[in-house]
Amino acid sequence: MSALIEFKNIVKSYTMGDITINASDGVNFIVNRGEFVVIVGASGAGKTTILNLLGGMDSPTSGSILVDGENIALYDEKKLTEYRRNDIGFVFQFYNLVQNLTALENVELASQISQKPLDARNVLERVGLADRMMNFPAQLSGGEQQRVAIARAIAKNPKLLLCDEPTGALDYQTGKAILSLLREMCDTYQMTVIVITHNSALAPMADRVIHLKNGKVNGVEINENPQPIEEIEW
Amino acid sequence: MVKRKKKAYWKNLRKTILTSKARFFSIFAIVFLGAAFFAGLRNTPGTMTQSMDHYLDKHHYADLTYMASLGFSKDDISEIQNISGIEDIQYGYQFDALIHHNDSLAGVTVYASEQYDQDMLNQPYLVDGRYPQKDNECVIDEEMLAEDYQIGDEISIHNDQGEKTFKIVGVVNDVRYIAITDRGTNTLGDGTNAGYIEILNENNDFLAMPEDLYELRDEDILYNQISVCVKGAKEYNVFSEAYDDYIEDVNTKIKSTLSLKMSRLYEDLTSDAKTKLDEAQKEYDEGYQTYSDSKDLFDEKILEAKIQLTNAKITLATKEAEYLKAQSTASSQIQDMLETIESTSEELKGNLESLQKELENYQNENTENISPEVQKSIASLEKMGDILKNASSSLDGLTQLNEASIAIEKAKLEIQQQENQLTLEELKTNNELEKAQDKLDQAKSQLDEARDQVDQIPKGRLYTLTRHENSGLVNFDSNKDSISSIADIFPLMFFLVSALVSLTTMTRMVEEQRSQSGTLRALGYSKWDVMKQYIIYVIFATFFACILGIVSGTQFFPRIIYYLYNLMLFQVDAPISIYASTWVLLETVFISVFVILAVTLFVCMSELNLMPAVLMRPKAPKVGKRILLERIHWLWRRLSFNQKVTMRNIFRYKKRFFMSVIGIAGCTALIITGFGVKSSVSQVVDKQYQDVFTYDYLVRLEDSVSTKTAQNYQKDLLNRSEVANVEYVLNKSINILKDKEDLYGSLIVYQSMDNMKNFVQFRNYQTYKDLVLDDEGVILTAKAAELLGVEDNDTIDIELNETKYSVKVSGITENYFMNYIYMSQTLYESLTLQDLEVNNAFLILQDDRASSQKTLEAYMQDKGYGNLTNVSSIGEEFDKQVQSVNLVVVILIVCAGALNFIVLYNLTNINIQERKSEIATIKVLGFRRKEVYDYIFRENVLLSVIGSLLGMIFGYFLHKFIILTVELDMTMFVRQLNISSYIYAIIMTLGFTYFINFTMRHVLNKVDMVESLKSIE
Repeated sequence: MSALIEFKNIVKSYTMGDITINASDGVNFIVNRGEFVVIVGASGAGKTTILNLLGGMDSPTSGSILVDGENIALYDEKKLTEYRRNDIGFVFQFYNLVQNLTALENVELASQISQKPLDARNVLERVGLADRMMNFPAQLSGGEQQRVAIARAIAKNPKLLLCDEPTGALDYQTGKAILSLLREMCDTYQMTVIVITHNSALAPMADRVIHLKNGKVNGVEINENPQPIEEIEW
Repeated sequence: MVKRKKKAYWKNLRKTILTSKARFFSIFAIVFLGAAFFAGLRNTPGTMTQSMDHYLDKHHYADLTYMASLGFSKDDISEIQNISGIEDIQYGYQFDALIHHNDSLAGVTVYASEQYDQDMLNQPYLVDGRYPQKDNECVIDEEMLAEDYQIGDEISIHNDQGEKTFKIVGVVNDVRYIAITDRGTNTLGDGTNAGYIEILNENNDFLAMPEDLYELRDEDILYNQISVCVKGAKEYNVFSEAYDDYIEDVNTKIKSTLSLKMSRLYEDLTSDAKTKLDEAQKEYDEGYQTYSDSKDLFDEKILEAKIQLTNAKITLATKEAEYLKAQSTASSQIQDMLETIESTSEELKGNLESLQKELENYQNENTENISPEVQKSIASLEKMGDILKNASSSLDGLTQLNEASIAIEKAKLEIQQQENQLTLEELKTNNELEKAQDKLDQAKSQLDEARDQVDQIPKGRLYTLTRHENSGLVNFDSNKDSISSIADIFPLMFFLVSALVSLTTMTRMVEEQRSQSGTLRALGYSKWDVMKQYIIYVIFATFFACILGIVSGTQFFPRIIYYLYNLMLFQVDAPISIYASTWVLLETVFISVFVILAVTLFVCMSELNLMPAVLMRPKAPKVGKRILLERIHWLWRRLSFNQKVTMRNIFRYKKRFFMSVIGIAGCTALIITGFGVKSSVSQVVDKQYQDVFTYDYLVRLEDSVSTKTAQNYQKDLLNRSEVANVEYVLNKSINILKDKEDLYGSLIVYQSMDNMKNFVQFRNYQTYKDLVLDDEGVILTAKAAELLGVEDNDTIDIELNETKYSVKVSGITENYFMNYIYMSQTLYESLTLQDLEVNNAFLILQDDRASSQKTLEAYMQDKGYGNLTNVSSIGEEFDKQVQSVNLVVVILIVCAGALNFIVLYNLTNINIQERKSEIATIKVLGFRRKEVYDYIFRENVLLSVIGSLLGMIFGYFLHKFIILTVELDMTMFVRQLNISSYIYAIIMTLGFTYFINFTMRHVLNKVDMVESLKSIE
């Protein structure tokens, strides 16, 4: 298994007035292709910074981020847009569906700009929303909305599925269902999935767990046999 | 405690304004624009009238002018001077005259004044030269400069009273003439007036008043015009009703004084003649009495004589009868006697014979011895003698009879004689009586004549001229009214848009600050405290915008409109004096501030009525909905995915949709109106002088000639190579009347129907179908028909030579400039019972070469065929004025652009603010910059397209409204909107939209993708 992502000495510092804060203070980790990775840390541990950098929404102050061999840390805005467009599928904590579009259209919104998209209907069927395709987000439950969001991320056929607290706004059971859907995407479709969460209880379900603390990697666990999500309780 | 609370509260407010500059600007700008338009346009009429009023005051416009047909004497004037309320009074003359100059004849109104100085009433404003100082000097109307009059020229003016030559020493603008074109009509010539000239009273009175008027009035000095300046009238605006009321008081006093004087004058004038008349009447009556008396007497005597004669005749007749009786008796007696005599004489014969024998015997015997025989004979002789005696006596009776017969004959003769004499006498007397009768009749007719003359002694008419009789001022007033009605309609659009803009903006603001409001409420601030924040915010945004708008609008719009009106219609350089009405100020503040405040309160109420707890939770996002368009499957399917998104967004927020569409429609409408007005006005010349009038030259004859002469001219002209066609016509200024409406226009009477069509195109103004010229009725031009409310086959009256004639309108023809009425010669002659005389001609040239024009011109002048005026030169003059309309177009486009900008800026701003998370999301999803722009701005484009389409309809009506409002009585603008106006408007509207999209890009670029990670606020 080769590394899909490699963070090398990533430093991201924000200047607020006279004070410089290093949100990421030399982060190093790798993620292999097809892995289900959970990045876990408490508030202020630097999760969002990692997310922003990984998602191509921001560039690090120093260090390099190799994604499929390309150092995206050096990308300009235009290149970053292309990176987001083609390589990243993003799942938001608050789903971020366009309220004005139906479930199908929300998926199409992403698939239309992608180079090698998957069929939107198929993807929606895959996430179990065959019957709700024509519904507007407001007509869907939170879980269903998150499924649409996942479908939207997958439909682009990205190299990486990046999920930001995907269960943060969901109840326990629904959260579990979403996680198991993500796991399924990883297992069945060999999608590399990175879930960023503060909930360390999710760690056992991941192939690789990266612990963040104070802007640094506190430790990496590899689970040879990840637990099925159904068996995890929190 | 309270202070601290306030402090935090105000700090928050200040921050709110500072952090939402775009929102603040949106409201500020639209309110500014609305207020500027509203206050500016509303204050324009006031500024126009105030400026003109100042001008009139400065040049001492006479509040009241009187003219009298019998003139005013010094005495009249001094009596008026005594009337209270009069500040100044001046006297002079005003009369019509014809002016000879450069071989052309023109009508002018002549004003004479005692002197020209700074204090005179109706002071002509000196443009060039100086005022007249000698009786043979004059100043002329500035407008006449165009007709090639110059300072130093000598002009000869004449009218029915006389003729005089004047030297032009100056060029003026009379305060009585504020309009460029309108110079009124003239009672002489063809009825048109080229302008006015002004002279001194001295030695010029003879031109104004007929000489016998002086005799009649027994005065040496008379004036026919007095001008009065009313004390205190300057305080009032000439165009106001208050002024009218104020003036009316003095006017009534003067009028009644003058009327009284005039009726007294009339009595004076007529009393002499009346006495004379009465005497004559008396004499006549007496004569008549004598005549009729003597006639009676005569009749009686004749009768008596006749009776006597008849009596005599009767007596004669009885005498005759007696005579005849006597005669017949006498003749029978005579017969008897004759018979007796015969027989007796026979006897006697025998006796005689016997006697003779006896006698012989006796002689022989003795004589002494008288035989018995003799005795016997003697006896018988004696007897014979007796008988003879008897007979002789009877014969005496016969003589008597004869005498009687003679007497009778004599009497008969006498009677005859008398009868003859009587007849003669009667004849004679009758003759005399008839003569007397004749004389009486003559006397009677003389008397009647005398009475007529007394009746004809002019009663004297008094004319009062106030500002309502001054056509320039009336025109100015009606133009002011046009502006007022535009001011009523026009700013509404801005206010509607500003209300919508603030509605959407404030709705967004209240929604955005929902949780903050909820927090404040939860902290214990009252609902009012929360609302107050928005109210203060709105007042800050609107009040200052409104005040700024009022100030700049009031400075800008009246100036520009006044400038345009001055350029196009009113020549006077009356300096502008800005008028700002408090009422307009209050109105503007009320509409701008309070309407928006009301909108804000409405939004706040509906939002803040919720419980704080609910407020603190984010508002559930507006539910996506299928829109109507999706039902039209074939169309929906064709839309690209992005287009679908745009459509859904557009129809999701109705307020914003209406705000944007109405604002953009307004923008398009303004541009359409701008270009439309320009094209409507500028096309007039081309349409009139190329499409309608197809002749090249207008020919003016100095004096009118008979049609026969004109036919000869025509024949001769047609033989010339330069001339393609010519038609001599009568052209006369007339009044056209219908019901209570009346209109000034030109009557054209043509000779040949077939030929006339070559010079003027007669087409129905709506259907453009060719009209038929006939002898049944007249053809009227469209604007005249519209103003008078005339349709085909209606009857109108025309006032020609002071007589009214009714004619049928058989067609209404397309026409753009001036009002005409076309009539055939046949109809004219059958109406007026006069032969047509022509004074003008239309001429078409064979070619356009200047040389042939010159040759023809010289030839025609030489022959007296008339002077040529090139029709295209009339058009050029008008064209210059039209240029100024460009300014209107620019102003409207700027306003349109501002409107469009404000609306779209506001819309885009709200969209971006509200959809920040959505924009961030699509950015995260990998939308490229351009795709992000499209995602948001496509909405603007689509709204612009919808708005433009709607704006085309708005624009159509707005243009129509404006054109109809600003049209003058003698002009009909081209009312159709040309397609290019629509095209320009759409291109410009979309151009504005693209510009706004372009400038708003940076706002989109600034949206941080991190927004997508936040929860929805």
